Parts: sequence; C-alpha cells; structure tokens
Amino acid sequence: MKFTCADLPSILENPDDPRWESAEAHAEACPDCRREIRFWRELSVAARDLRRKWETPELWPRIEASLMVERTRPRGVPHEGGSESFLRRWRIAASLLLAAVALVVLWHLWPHAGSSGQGSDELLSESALARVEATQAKCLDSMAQLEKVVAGELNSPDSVLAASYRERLLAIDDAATELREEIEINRFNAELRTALLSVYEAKEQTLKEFAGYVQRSQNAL
Amino acid sequence: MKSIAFNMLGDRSDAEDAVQEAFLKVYRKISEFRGESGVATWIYRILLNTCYDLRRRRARVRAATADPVVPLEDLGEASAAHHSTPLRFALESAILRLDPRHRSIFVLYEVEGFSHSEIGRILQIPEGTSKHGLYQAKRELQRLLGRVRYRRPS
Repeated sequence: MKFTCADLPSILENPDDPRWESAEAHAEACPDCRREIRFWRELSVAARDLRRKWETPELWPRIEASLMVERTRPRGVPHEGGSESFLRRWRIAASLLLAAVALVVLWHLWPHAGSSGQGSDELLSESALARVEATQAKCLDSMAQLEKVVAGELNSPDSVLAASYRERLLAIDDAATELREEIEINRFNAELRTALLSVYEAKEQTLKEFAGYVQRSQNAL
Repeated sequence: MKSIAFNMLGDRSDAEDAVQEAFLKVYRKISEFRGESGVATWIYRILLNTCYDLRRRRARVRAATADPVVPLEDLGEASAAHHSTPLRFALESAILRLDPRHRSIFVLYEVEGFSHSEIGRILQIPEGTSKHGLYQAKRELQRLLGRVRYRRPS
C-alpha cells in the first residue's frame, strides 16, 4: 500500500510501526512530512538531555529523619475489616440521605430570585438569613461526614482517580472560600448565597460520585 | 526519582521535597501494597501523584503571592539577542505547560526512557493510551515551541 501524508500521524504515534521505512522514503519527496519527522526526532534528542543528576548529600539524612519521626508517631485509623466496611456503607447512605434532606429543606426555605422578579441585588430578610444559615450549617455537617467516610480512599497516594477527585475538590473549596469571603462583607446578598449553595451542591455531587466509586470497589472485593 | 520530579515540577528544591514526601507515603502505605505491580512501579506512581499534589499546592501559593510565571514567548524575546535558545531550554520551559498527564507520559518516555508498557503500569492506563498521550504531548510541544526561536540540536 502506498504511503501518504495522511498516514503520518499514525506512524508518529507508534514508534514500533513497521511502516516507518515507507514513511521515510515518502518524506524524502515530501517537505512537510520531512519537517514533521525531523521535528519529532529533534524533540526526542533534546528530551534526553533533560535527564538530571545532581548531588544532594542532605536529602537522604532528611528522608531518614522524617521516617524516624513517622515511626515514632502513634498509628492512625485501624485497617478496615468486613463488619467495619458494612458500617461504613451505612454511614455513607445515612450521610447521603441527610444531605438530600438538607437540600430539599433549603430549597423550600429559599426566597427564589426568579419568582420575585428582582435582580441580583436582592437581599434576604434577617429571619430568612437565619434559616438559610442554619440549613447551610446542616448541609456542611453532612458533607463533613461524607468527607470523613471517603477520607481514607481520597487521600490514597497511589490512586490516580483519587488524585483527580482531590484536584476537583480543591478547586471547589477554593471557589467556596472566595464566596464565603465575599459573603462576610455582604451577608444578606441572595445572589452570593445562591452561588455558594451551587458550589456546595457541586462538592456534594463530587463526594457522592467518589463515595459511589469506593462502594463499588468494596463490593467488587 | 529526583530527575522525574524535577521535570514534573521545574524546580530542584521542589523535586527534593517531592521525593522526600513520596518516601514517607511509601512508608505509610507499605502495608497496603498488594504486589499487583512491581514495587518500583508502585513507588513511581506514588512519586507522580505526589508531584501532581505538590505542583497544585505551589500553584496556589504562587497565585496568592502573585509570583509571576515567565510567559513562554518571553524566552524567545530574551534570547533574541543571542540569536536563539537551544531547544533543550525552550523544551524545559514548554514541558511545564503541558497537561499533567501528558507531561508525565512525555517525561517518563522521552526523558527517562521507560517503555509504553511500563508507563501503562505506572499510570494504570492501557499501553495504547500512553502512546496516544505521548503523541498529544508532542503535538502540544510543537505548538508551544512554534512560538519560540530555538536552536536545533547539532
């Protein structure tokens, strides 16, 4: 089969592709493919120079010292056994239920901006604010419980999935912190409160997703 | 390990911190190691995840202290007086702008010489995904380096 420019990407993606010889023959007559292959090779040559070696005589003593400190620390949470994992599933279910109830209550208590026809400057009354804050506190409690339940798996250093969830949760927490700071100077602003609620919902959803993953992997064991 | 961490983080001191933190995590998690992969594979995986976390933490601090990150284009301008930047330096800077997953694949394959099957085991991805990730990384580097004048390797 004749090699064409359109075949080049699949060749570049696979260094073991048997069509490399045909690609090089084609590149001799095709300046675009020649340039492309040359760049690819130059990149590999330059990348090899990025391998670093430097002396750090203080690093190993530092690591040893931190391991010694770790060894003398009291052991944390015990390893989870079968009955504990049943208890854990119960706790996840209870937390999810509590979070769902808190959100429904919050929804009913919320003075909806759309229905009042007023814009983003809408302010909450003192009593509505008290109710919203109480409901938010319940919601936060339930999320904290959920966080505790998934903490072990979430902080697992060897799980790429956990790292990705940690990243997402950090971004959500950053957004919540920013909103809370704004709310501190503008406590009655309904728009800020709505935004914070959305952020909490996003966090709850993310935690639920991860809890679901934890449950599925425990069931699979 | 230091070399991988350096190319993931772009800073020697951060790389050393990442190696230290990775060893601590290995120590804490050793009882959970089930032998499904080699020990070295498992340690590299922990190191890479530590680098992701550390980089994210550093980025947050940098954002909070408004520590400026030199734009890639400035590298070309700064080097214009010397005609061009060696590709190696431009590449070092461009790598740090890659998506973290693509960056790890590029560093492990092109810099450290791991095979795609080894990378697949470290990152827990299929070998084909590693190959495609490397292709994507190189395409992105091609785009980034297109904005910089660099000197070809001799």
